[in-house]
Amino acid sequence: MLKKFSLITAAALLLAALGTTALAKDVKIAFIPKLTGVGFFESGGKGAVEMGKMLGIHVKYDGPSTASVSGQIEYINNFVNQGYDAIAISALSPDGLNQALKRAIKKGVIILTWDSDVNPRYRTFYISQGTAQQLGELLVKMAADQMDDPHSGTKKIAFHYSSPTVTDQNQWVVVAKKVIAEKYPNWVIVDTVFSHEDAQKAVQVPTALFQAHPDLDAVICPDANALPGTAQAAENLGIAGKVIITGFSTPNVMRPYVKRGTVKAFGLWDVVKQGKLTIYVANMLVQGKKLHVGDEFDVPDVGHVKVSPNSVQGYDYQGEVNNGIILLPERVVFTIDNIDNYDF
Amino acid sequence: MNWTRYLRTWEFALAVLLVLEIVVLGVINPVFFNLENLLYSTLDFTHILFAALPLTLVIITAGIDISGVSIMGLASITLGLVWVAGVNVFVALAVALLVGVLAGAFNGVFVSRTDVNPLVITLGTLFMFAGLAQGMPALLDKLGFKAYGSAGLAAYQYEGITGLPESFIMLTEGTVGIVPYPFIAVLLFALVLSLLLHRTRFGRYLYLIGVNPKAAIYSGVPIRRVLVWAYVLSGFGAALAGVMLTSYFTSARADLGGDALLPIITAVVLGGADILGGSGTILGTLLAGMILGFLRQGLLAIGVTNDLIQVVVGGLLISAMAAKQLIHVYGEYRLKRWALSKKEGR
Amino acid sequence: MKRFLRSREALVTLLLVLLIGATGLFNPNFFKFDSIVEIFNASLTLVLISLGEMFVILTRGIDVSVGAIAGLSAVVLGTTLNLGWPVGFAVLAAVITGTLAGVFNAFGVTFLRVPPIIMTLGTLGIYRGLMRIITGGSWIENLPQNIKEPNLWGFLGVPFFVWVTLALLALTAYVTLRIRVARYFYAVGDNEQGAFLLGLPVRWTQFAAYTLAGSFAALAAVVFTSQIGFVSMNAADGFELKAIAANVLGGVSLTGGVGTPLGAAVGALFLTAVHSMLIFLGVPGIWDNAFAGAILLAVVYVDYRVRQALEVQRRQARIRGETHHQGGAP
Repeated sequence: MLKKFSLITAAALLLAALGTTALAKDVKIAFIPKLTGVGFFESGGKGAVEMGKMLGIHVKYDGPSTASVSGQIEYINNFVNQGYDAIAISALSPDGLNQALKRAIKKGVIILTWDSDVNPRYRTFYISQGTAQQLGELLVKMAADQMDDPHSGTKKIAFHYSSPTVTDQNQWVVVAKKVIAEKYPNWVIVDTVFSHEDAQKAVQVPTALFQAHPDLDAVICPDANALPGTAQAAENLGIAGKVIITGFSTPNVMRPYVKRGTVKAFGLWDVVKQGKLTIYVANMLVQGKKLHVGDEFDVPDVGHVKVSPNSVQGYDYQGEVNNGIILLPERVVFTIDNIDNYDF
Repeated sequence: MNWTRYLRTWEFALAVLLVLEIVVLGVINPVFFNLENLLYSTLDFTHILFAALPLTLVIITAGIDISGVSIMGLASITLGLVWVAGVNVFVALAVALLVGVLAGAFNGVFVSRTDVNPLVITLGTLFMFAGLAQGMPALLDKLGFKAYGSAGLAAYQYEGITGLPESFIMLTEGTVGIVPYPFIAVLLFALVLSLLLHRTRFGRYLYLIGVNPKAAIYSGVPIRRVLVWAYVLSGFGAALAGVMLTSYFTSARADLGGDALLPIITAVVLGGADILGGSGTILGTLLAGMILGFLRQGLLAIGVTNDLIQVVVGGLLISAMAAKQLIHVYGEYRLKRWALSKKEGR
Repeated sequence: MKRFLRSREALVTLLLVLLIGATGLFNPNFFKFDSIVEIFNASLTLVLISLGEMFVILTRGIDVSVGAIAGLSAVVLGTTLNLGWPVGFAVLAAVITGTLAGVFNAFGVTFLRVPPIIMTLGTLGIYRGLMRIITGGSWIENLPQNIKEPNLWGFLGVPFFVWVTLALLALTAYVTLRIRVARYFYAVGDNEQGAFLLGLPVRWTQFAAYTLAGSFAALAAVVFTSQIGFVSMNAADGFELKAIAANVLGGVSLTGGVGTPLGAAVGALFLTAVHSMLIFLGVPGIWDNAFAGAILLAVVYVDYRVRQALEVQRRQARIRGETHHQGGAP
């Protein structure tokens, strides 16, 4: 009798032990970038993995090596099959992932997006760096702030980014062009050129652009390849400092250009923090927490955040619970004064 | 014993490799053995098969068509734009396939009417079709077509065209039992192409053109027509792939399929087609495509990172071919020994 | 001279000059010395890769891993530089890497007898994968300024690297035309069996071709890194196809044995220049690909028609009894 009892207790203890370790260890979250091998996404991944360690959960960072929707779908399907609890993804296409996400949700996987959103029906939260409106305005502001008098005289502007089919960059540029038309009617957009994520072309294209329009005032480059490429082109041509070059890229790749004064200011957000915040929220949801629009909470290493409704991004759809947008507290404009405070 | 002949074919070796691969990957990670997941994962490479199968015909003629990946995007955006204009989605689908056929015909006519290398021609059309697909919404805008979406026609080029009807989405979401429709479709497509290649005069002409184009001309083969049809089929296959991806992605985009070029060519050449023409089979391409597709899915499933997958796939490709060559050399050696022994015996 | 005018590369050069002229008429900025120099400058990477690829194509082979080799060499260059190696050593390390990568291809093709397209498709994946494994997937940035300096050196207003590439081009042209051993590439590509029966070292010639392709890709990587100043993980992605196309465009035949270094270089220059020209012509960026493709097709079509016309003329001349030899071989 005693033997039987001790056996049962032992088994129960064992189960309990297994149970607790399972709770702490078994949480598996996948963090998928648009493509691997790009400083921006690698840094986001680094932040995500760090937060995973801090929370004691398993975070996996991996994704396709070229920016392709089918590659992302492969990863979603595979993480679902492997029994991951949550998937956070920077989507290449706002609707291209729907079917894969629908299947994931059906199998009980929690979906979040970061950096680039999908249709809000197919995710819980979007961890956003800022709305297209905010970022488009920031692009114009960074260029205008570097002009002596942005409102007078004809200013010749060009845009240079990756391709006409990339969703977020195009959305920012559409906003930027609208802002220019409203606020600075004296600005003329002479060309919009693309370098298709090809570093060599990212130098060649702006070189031709500068030569074809010797009186260009500013080039706005919201792309990780296009901004350093344009800066390099200006240095090669010896016109560094004479033309305004601004846009979005990571501080590490831009540091030498900022130090030499080729680029005076460019923007981005702290993607390491974005990765951390994403994993923090994902873990909350896996633990069964319910978040509503208007809820506020503190995230270690990131700061105070608030759940906003989907409508801040212009969506009609709004779920009751666990659905909305969480904005990063701030976007950063990097200049020679603050760039050394960032390492990503 | 006639059947032993089949055991020595490359296709048989590929079939063995395919089974072996699934078993090994399944033993490492039993999740991979889940038949439903396994079949579902074919959706991630069916588009490669759709494009690779008819490309085999082109490569048999000593040609090449690298523009297929752009035709995918072109077909997809065409489908979307036609549907947005208020046409039934299945009619739009037919129009998209027609665009693929026309694009293929353009390649075919250019290839058959000039002596310019098909690689250069289809590189040109690779750029041109991709450019057309990207610019089409903007072009329609310029031509004064009315925008149906909220953000205007130009937004289609980067946001894609969404909201496609459920009946169209079901083309990839639907299954027969646990087998997804596209997988069945691609098997049927392979069957048709296989019959065409191995059971018709057209198929024999393809081989003849690849082996010896001069002989083909002198024996009265309508070379130009045969070539045009080969490229038309290739364009059609690419358009099918584009339509399938459109349904799978639930949105029509100008840039889908862009990264499929190397996997497509890899499938065809691993399948046994010689890039210099004259050899290749549909079954070989089908099996090779499945080997490569399942290998990728399997490695992903056991948690291998993308970087390492490239290395493993590359290494496997080389080893498979090196083994084939070694066996071939050994076979020759055996044959010579055998011949020699006969001679001495006499 | 006459033979040159009849050759494929002369025709493509002529068409290139015509296109440049047309662009210049439209936008006078294009006629400036600097603009032309920059187009040369931008095409250097592709020119170098295409030159290496030419040797392989001459032997009737194909190498689709040259872009990946360039990427891998650039990664080695960047990594060693960031470890504090002097530029000379880092460049040497990169060139050795590229050469070894070429040797591996060569080994597979000549001794394992793997068909070239399969071998190099395989190594394309392997080298690209290695690149990311070495760097852990991140870009190589913050390169020391001294690797970028050579790009700013110049002589007579022409950048240093343009001179280097021109010198290399002249050297390859001289060697392939005048040095007996280098003619083996043509012999092997034209007729492998025949070359073998003549006692030429067929396998070692092929071996040398793939090795050279690797070395040239590595040189391209050095230029690339110096010009761009950072190494992204998709560096030189897709250059393999462009290099093959450049060769074919410049008259190097994929069936082996025919073609010259000058042809390969002109082809590469053409494929690069198109994109710059479109900007000078004010074609919106969204149409860049469509126009680039259409122009390429137009050029090969015109080239084909002109060659046909010349052929007809030649035949008529022969019928009329003008028997002087036109020179079939390059």
